[in-house]
Amino acid sequence: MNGDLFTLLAPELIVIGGAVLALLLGLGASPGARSAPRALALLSVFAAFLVTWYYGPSPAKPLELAGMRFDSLAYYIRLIALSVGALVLLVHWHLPHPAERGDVFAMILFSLAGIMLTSLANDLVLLFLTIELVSIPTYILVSIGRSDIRAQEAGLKYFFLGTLSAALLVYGFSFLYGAAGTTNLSRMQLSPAGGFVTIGLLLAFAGVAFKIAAAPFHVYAADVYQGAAAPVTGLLGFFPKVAGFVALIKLLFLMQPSDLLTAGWNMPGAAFVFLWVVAAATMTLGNVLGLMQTNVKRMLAYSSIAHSGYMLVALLAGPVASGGPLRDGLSAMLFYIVVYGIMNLGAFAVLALIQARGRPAEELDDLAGLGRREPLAALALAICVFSLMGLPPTAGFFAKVYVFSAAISNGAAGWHGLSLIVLAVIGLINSAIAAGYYLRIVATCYLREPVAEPIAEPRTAGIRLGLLGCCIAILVIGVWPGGLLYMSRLPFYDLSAPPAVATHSNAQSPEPAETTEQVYAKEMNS
Amino acid sequence: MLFLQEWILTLLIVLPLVGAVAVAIAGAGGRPLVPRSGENHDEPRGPRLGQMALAFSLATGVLTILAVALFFTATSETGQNLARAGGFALVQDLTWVADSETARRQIDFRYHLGVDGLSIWLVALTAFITPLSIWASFSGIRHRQREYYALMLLLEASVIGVFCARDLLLFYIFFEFTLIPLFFIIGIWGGPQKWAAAGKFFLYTFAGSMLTFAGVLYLAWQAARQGGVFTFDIDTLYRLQLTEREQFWLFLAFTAGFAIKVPLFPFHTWLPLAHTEAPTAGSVLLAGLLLKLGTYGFLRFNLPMLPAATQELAPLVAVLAIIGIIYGALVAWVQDDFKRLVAYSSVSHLGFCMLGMFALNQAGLTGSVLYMINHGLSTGALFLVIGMIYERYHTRQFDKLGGLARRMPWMAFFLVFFVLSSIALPGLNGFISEFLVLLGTFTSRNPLDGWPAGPLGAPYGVIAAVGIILSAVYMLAMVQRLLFGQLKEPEHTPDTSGGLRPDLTRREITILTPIALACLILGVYPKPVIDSIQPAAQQQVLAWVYAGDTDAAFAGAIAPRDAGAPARSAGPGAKEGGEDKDRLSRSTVGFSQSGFATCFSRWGEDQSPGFFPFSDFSRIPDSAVPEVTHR
Amino acid sequence: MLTIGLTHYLILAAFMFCCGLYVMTIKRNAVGILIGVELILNAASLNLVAFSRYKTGLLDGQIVALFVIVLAAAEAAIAIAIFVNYYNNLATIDVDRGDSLNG
Repeated sequence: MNGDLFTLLAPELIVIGGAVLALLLGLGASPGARSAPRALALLSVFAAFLVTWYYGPSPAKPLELAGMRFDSLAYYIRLIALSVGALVLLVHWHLPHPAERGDVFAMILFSLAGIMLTSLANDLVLLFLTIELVSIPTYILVSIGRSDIRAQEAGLKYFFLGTLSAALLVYGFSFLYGAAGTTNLSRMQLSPAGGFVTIGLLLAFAGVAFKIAAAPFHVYAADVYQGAAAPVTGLLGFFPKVAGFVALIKLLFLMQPSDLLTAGWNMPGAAFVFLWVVAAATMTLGNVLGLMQTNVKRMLAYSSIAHSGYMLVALLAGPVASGGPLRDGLSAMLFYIVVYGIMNLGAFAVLALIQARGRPAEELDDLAGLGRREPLAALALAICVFSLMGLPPTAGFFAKVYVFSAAISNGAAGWHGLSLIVLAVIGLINSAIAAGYYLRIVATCYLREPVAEPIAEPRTAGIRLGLLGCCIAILVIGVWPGGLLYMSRLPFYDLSAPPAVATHSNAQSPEPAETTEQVYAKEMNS
Repeated sequence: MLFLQEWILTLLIVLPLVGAVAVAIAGAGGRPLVPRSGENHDEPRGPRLGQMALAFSLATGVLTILAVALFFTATSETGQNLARAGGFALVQDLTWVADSETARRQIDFRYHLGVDGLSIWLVALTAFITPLSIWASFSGIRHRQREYYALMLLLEASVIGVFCARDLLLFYIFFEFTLIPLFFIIGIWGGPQKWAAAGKFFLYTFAGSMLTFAGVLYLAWQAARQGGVFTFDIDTLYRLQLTEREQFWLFLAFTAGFAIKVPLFPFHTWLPLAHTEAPTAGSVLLAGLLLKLGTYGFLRFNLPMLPAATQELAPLVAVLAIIGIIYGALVAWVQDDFKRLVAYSSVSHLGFCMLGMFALNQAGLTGSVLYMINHGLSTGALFLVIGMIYERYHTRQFDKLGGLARRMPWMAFFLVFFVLSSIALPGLNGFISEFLVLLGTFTSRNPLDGWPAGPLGAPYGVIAAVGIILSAVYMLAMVQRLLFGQLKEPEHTPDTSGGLRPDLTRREITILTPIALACLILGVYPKPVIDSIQPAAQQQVLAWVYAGDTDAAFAGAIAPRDAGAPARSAGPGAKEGGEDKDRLSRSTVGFSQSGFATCFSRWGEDQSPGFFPFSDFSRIPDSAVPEVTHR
Repeated sequence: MLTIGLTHYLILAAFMFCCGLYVMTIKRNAVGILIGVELILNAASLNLVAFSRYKTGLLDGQIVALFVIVLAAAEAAIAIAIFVNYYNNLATIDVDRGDSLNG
C-alpha cells in the first residue's frame, strides 16, 4: 500500500461514487433505471469490501495522512461496516417505492461511507463531520416515503435530538481543542486532570450518548424505532452505534499515554463515574422499560438501548495489555457491536418480511402463531432473539462472554476494578430481566395459535437472503467465534504497540513476549 | 477401539442432534418450507416421526451401553482400571477457541469431554429415560409432532453434553441450552397454564444461571491470573487458590444457578407449576434428568472447587435441604392433584440428595449420586404412569377418580411398585440411596471411613428421617385414594381413542417394565454402580474438599503437579489418574495410621461380608485409601 | 479599561449554549427549536474561534468554525425538508401535535 490518498481511500470513494450514481439513476424515468440503484449499491459495497480485503490491515506503522489515520481499527470497522451494510441493503431490497429507491439506497451508502470515514478520522473536525455524515442520511431514511403520521413524527424527533447531539458534540470538541491547542487527534496528548478536558469530554460523551442511545439520552429511541420502517430500524441499530462507539474509542485514546495500556483507560475520575452510571442506567432502563412494551418494535428499541449499555461496560473495561482476548474490553466491544448489529438486523428483517407479505408486524399479537404460519421466518426470529438473549450456541452468547469477562477480569486496583465487577453483575442481572421480554416474542411466535394467514406472496427474495445471511452469521460465530475474535483483536495489537515505544522496549529486552509477561507479572503483584 | 474410546461421547451427543435434524426435515417432507395459506398443519402424520425419533434415541441408548462397557474396561497409561480408580475415561480433548496468533497462549476454550463414575450413570440414565419417554408420547402427542420429537432429541443431546463436559464453559453452554427445548416442550404441549409454566421455568432458571455465569467468568480470570491462561478446564480450575472471601461469593454465584435447578427450598416455586403443566414426557425428563443438572453442578463445581466455602456453608445448605424435605412432603400430602403431589415429592426427594451431598463423606456422596439415579427412575416412572391415567381420564383430581385398580390392574401394579420404590422400600432402589444418605448424614461428624469430620451430624439425620415417614404417608395415601375403594371415574371415560385400552396397552407395559426391572436390580444388587461411584466420589470430590485440611507438616512434601500450573494441593483427580498415583502415595501419609481407616479395615476383617450387604464398602480399593491427602 | 480576554468569550459562548438549550426546551414550534440548535452550534463556533485566537494563534480553530457553519446549513436544509413533510401530514409544525408515539 503506498501513500497515495486515492488508493488509500478507494473503498470510501467506491461507496460514495455508488451513492451518487444511485441517486442519479433513481431519477430516471424508465423502470430499468429505477431498479438499477439497488444492484448498483450492492455491487459498490462488494467492490469496496474486496478492495479493503485486498489491501489488508495497515502495515506495522499506521499511516497518518490528511487528518486520517489508516490503522487496524479502521480496517476492522471498514470490513464489518461493509459486510453488515451488504445485509442491510438486502433487507431494504423490496421496501422502498420504486420512485424512491435511488434516494433510499444512496442514503444507506452515504451513511455507510460515513462509518468508514469515522474510523479513519484523526482530526476533531473530521470526526465531527463524519459522525454527521452517518447521521444525516438516517434522518432522511426515517421519514422518507412514509405518509404515515408516525413516521413523520419519528423523523422530526430523531432529527431534533440528533442535531442537538451534534451541537453538544461540537461544543465539547471546542473545549478539547482549547485544552490541546490542536485538532489533530494523534498530537492531542490530553492530561485527564484538566478542567477543559473534563468539560469537553463530558459534553462529547453526552453527544455520543445520543448516537448510541445511551441513558439519559435514550428517550427518542423507542419512538423513532416504532415510527420508522422495519428495515430502517434494523439499520438504526447498527450505523449510528458504530459511529458513536468509534468516536468514543478515539476520544478515550486522547488521554492515553502512548506507552501505557496495562490497566484500561486513563481518564478523569468524573468521566469514569459518568460512563459507569450511564452504562448501568442504560442497561437497567432499557430492559425494565422493555418489559413493559407490547409493541415488538418498541421492545427491540429498548433492547437496543440495553445492548448499548453492555457495550459501554466492555468499553469502560478498556484495552488491557496482558491477559489476552478475554481481558480486552476494546476488542470485546468491537466483537459485540458486529454481533449486535447482525442479530438486531435479523430480528427487524423478519418484521420486514412479514410486512412485505401483507401482514402487520407491529404489536406482539401480530406475531401470534408465526411458528405455524411461517415456520422459517419464525425460526429465524427465534435464532435472532435467542442470540439477543445471549443463549448458546448463538453469537450473542460469546459476545456476552467477552464483554462480561473483560469487565470481571479488569482487575484494576482499588474501587476501579471492583466497580467494574459490580457493573458486570448488574449487566448479567439485566440479561436475566431482558429474557423476560425476549421470551415473550418467542413465546408469541410458537406457543400461540395463528390469528391470520399471510395475504400476499410478493417477491421477498432479497429480504430472505439478508435474513439467511444474518442467521448463518449468528450460528457460525456462535459455534466458531475464533475468527471474528481474531479480527477484533487487530486494533488492539496496533494500538498497544506504537512504533516509538516498541523500539524503546526492544532495546531493553529482545523478546516482546517477555515484555508482556513482565508487565503482567508486575501488574499481578501490585 | 481407541478411536471409539475417544469419540464415543461425541457420538452420544451428535447422534440425537442428527436425529433432531432428521426428524425436522422428514416432518417437513413434501410440503413447501413456507406453507401457503389454508394448509392444515395438524394432519396426523401417524407415529412415523415418533418411530424415527425412537430409533435415534434407542441407537443412542445402544451406544451408551457400549460407552459404559468401554468405561469399565478403560485403563490408564499405567494399566490401572480407571473406573476402579475413580478417574476420567473416554476423554476427548480438542482445542475449540484459542489465540494462535501470539506465541503465548492466553485463551483456551476446550471441547473436552470425559466421564467418571459419577457422570457415566447419569449419562446412562439419560439414554435410558429418553427413548422411553419418546415412546410414551406416541399416544399423547397428537399435534405438531415434528417439532416435538426434534425437541426431545435436542434435549437428550444437551443433557448428555452437560454430564460429559470437562470444560466449564462447555458445561455452561449445554446447561443453558437445555432451557430452549424444554421451554418449548412445556409451552406448546403442556396443560392449561402452560405459558405461565414455561415462562416461569425459563426465567427462574435463566436468572439463576446468569449469576453462575459471573462466577464462571471470575474463575476463568483467576485461572489467568494464577496460570497465565484464560482457561475453563475443570481440572485447572480445581487447582486455583481462592481466598475464603472469593470462595464465599463464588459459592453464592454457583448456588444461584444450581439451587434453582435442583430446586432447593426456597427456590422451588417454579417446579410444581412446570411439572404439572408439562406434557407427560416433559415431566419425566424434567424430574428425571433436568433436576439432576443442578445437583450434578453442586457435585462437580461447588464441592471440589470451593472447599472452604462448602464446609462453611454446608450446614446452611443442609438446613435448606431439610426444610425442603419436610415442606415438600407436607405440601405434597395436601394436594388434590396427583401430578402436583408427585411434583412436590420431587422437592422432598431432592432435599435428601442435597443433604447427602453436603454430609461431605463417602457414604453421603455415594448415596446422593445414587439418589439422583433412583429418583430419575422412580419419579420418572411415576410421571409416566400418571400420564397414562391422565390420557384416559383427562383429569388429575383425586376427587374425580377412585378404585382404579379394578379398571386398570396393570396400571395399579406399576403404580404401587414405583410408589414403593419411591418411598424406599427395602429391596427396591430407593432404599439403598436413602439409607446411604442418612448414614452419611448421621456419621458426618464421626465418619466411618477415615475422612475428616464433615459438617453435619445426627440432628440433621433425625429431622430428615421424619421426611421418610411423611413420604410413606403421602405416597400411600395417593395409592389408596386412587386405586382402592369405590370405582369412580368421570363420565364418557376412559377415553380409548388413539389406540388406547382401559388398562395399559402392550406398548405402555413395555415402557414401564424396563424401568421396573432397573429399580429392582438397583435395589437388590447395586454393587457395580456403587463400586464405580464410590472411588469417583472419593477422587473427584472428597479429595478436593478435604485437600486443604492436610497437616502443615506434609504441605511441603506435596510437590506442585507442574511448575506452570498453580497448585492448591497435589490433590488427586488429575487427568492422568495413574501418573499421579505414585507421587501421591509417596507424598501423603499412609492413611492406615489414622483412626478411622483402621476402624474401617477392621470392619472388613471382623464382620465379613462387611457392613453393607449390598456393597463392598469394607473393601475399599487399595488405590483409594491413601488418596486422602492429609496435609 | 477592561480588556476582553478568552474567559469573556467562553462565558458568552456558555451563555449562548444555555440560551440554546432553553429555547429548545420551551419552544413548541419546529423552527423555534431549530433556532435553539443553531444557537448551540454558534456557541461552539465562538469557542473555537476564541481558542484559536487566544491559545494557539493558528487558523485551525477558525477553519473548524467554518465547517460547523456549513454543517449548520446542511442541517437546516434537511430540517426544512422534514418540516414540509410534517406539515403535509399534520397541517402544522407544532411538535406537540405529534403524539401518536408513546409508551
